[in-house]
Amino acid sequence: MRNRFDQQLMQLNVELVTMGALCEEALTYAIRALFQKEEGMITRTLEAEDQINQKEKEIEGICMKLLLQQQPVARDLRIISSALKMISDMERIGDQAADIAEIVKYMDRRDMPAPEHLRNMSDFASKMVTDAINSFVNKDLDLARKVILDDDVVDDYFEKVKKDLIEAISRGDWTGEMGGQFYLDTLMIAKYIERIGDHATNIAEWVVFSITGSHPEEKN
Amino acid sequence: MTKKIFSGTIMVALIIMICCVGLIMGVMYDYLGTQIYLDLENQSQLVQEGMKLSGQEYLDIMKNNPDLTVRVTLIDANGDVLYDTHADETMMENHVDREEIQEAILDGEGRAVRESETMASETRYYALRLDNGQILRVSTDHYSQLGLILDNMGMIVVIVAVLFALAMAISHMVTRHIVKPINDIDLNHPAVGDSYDELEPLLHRINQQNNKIHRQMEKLRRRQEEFNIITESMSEGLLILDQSKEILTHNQSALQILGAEKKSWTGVNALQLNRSEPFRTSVEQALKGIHCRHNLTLGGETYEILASPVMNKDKINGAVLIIMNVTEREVGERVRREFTSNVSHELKTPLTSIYGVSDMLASGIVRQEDVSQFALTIKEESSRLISLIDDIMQLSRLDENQVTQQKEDIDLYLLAGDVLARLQRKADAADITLQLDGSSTMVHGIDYILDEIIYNLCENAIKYNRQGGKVTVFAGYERGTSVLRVTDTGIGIPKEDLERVFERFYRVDKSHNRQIPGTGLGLSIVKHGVAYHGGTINLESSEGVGTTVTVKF
Repeated sequence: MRNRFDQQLMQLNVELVTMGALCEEALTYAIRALFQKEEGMITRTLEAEDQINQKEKEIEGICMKLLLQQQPVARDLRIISSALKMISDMERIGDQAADIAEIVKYMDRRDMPAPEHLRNMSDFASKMVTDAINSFVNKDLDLARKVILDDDVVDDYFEKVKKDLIEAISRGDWTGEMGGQFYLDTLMIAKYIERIGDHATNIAEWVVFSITGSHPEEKN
Repeated sequence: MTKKIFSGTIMVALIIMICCVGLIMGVMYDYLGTQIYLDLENQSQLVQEGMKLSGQEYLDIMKNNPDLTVRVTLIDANGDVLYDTHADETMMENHVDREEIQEAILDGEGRAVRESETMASETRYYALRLDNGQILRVSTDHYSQLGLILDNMGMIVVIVAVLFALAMAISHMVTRHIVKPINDIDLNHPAVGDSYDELEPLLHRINQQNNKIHRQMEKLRRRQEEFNIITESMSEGLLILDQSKEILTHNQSALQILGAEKKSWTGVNALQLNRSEPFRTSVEQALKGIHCRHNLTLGGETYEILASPVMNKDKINGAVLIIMNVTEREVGERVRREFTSNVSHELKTPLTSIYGVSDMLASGIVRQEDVSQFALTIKEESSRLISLIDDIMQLSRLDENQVTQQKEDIDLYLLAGDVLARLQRKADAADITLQLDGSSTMVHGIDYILDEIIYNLCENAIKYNRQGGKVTVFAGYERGTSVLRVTDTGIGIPKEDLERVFERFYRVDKSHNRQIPGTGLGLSIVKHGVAYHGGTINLESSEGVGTTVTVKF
């Protein structure tokens, strides 16, 4: 009985790692679609998002089965409940990557004004997601705490991107309907990436919770 | 075993104790009976004597005397009771059919034992025929066997309890004593002869099996070690997984390639090692029984994952993954692709202009006085083609090591002076000063290849120089080796291009209408030429300041 329980927990762990990997992929594809304008990246992002949704349902099923059949307590219960929370964050990351891909689909191919900040921001957010998943895989408390702190960096980047856009608008780089559309799209993408950073932070918080049993101290 | 021996011994002790008590009781009872009869006989003799002496008076004294321990009855030959010490003789029935009376009538004396009215008690009778034919019967009550036991129960229980405790203690000791040699057997090295004889065959067998196990373990260990040595010395990463994706074996290279911590990952799910898409797909496909290869990019290097299922009787038992670095192969392929496209491009450009010019000449639209000008263009383009093809041939000869000429000692300094003299006109045209430093230094090599090296380096130094610049050539000994150094004050090479300038057709200026003519093969020829002479080439450059090329032979 115990053995079977451990096996199911192990399977849960593996499925979570897979789902995390899918999130990383979805985000990487979306970023590549955005900056490198690589062919087929948009479709691959949407495919990955599909798989993420499916995985979420699968993992939810595993968690429910574990809760009902094994009635876990203490640490096991913590692992399962944080898994349930984690998958919703991962699913959101997938959604946002898909949203970015959707926007890129309708964006014309012109380059953004001063794209360095947005590029750095997306690279950083994608590293945060990777780190959050790594902290889960290796049960690395320090890494999880670092991801939680990293959230501020992404927020800073968001402010910078916003400032860039405001400057571009006041310079009047692009005008007319297309121009407005372009500014808004860029802002949306930045916001989505900022949200992805938040979700990565949430995942890291759940990792901390599942290991220590207490929520990481609120930062000021 | 201890328990069994212990309980067995106790059981034996208990049974023996019970038997002993029973037997002793029986013997005692018998002895008691005999004693009682003897007693009764004596009593009857006494009563007989008493009756002879005192007659009826004697009997009267005895009647209802509470001190009397025996009961005396006098019976006539017909069985009618004449006298009894304990009862009224007139009330008593005829005794003729009693066992002891019958015996007395027949044999002169009779004995009998009968249960008495009270529990656990019986009465013994002794009858004696008197001379007058009357029968004198003496009887007494005493304990039956059961009574005997019941009466002594307390004592028996105490004795049995004490004996039982003693038996337990002894059993315990005995058991320990028996078991000790068995417990003392060192099962790893059972020494035959140290224990019970009965155990010898077993110990012998254990010994044999121990040896067998030891040999097999050693064999396994050696095999494992061999396997480890083989896998650890592989530069390719090796992973063996079971069907639930758990890692069974991995080598250090695999960890290194996948950037994992150096510890044992055995028993860990492979996805925890790496979760990138190609890796996941490889594992999944292999576990579905499909051989596959996927490319994995990690840290700027390209790896190829070769995944194969492990089959046993049509059942997939796991997967073997081999991860190898194919960066060089990928780069090589890219270089080859670029080379082909460059060669075609470089060959096509002069040919196109030759074709165009000759087409114009053929159609007769060129004025007579311009013909020589057009012919000159054809000549220039043809000579460019020839020099290009010469360069390619030179390169391929160096590639294939197809230099037929014998090596000889050549003075690098003289050769450099010769080259500079040939380039003087070009340098003058570009307003560049040439300078030769150093001293005579001998190199064992092939003159035309060395000439080519110096010529190409100096030509580049002139071509990529600025107005009024300077080219310094140094040829001489430095720390015992022959060194050729060409320094210019030119435009320099950007850092990101430093690695690639030796590639064929690679040119820093990638635009197709280049300001500076050239095939892009010069440095490539230099590199191969130096390699052919077993030398090294070093390139230092800073953009806008100049470039220094140092060749050491």
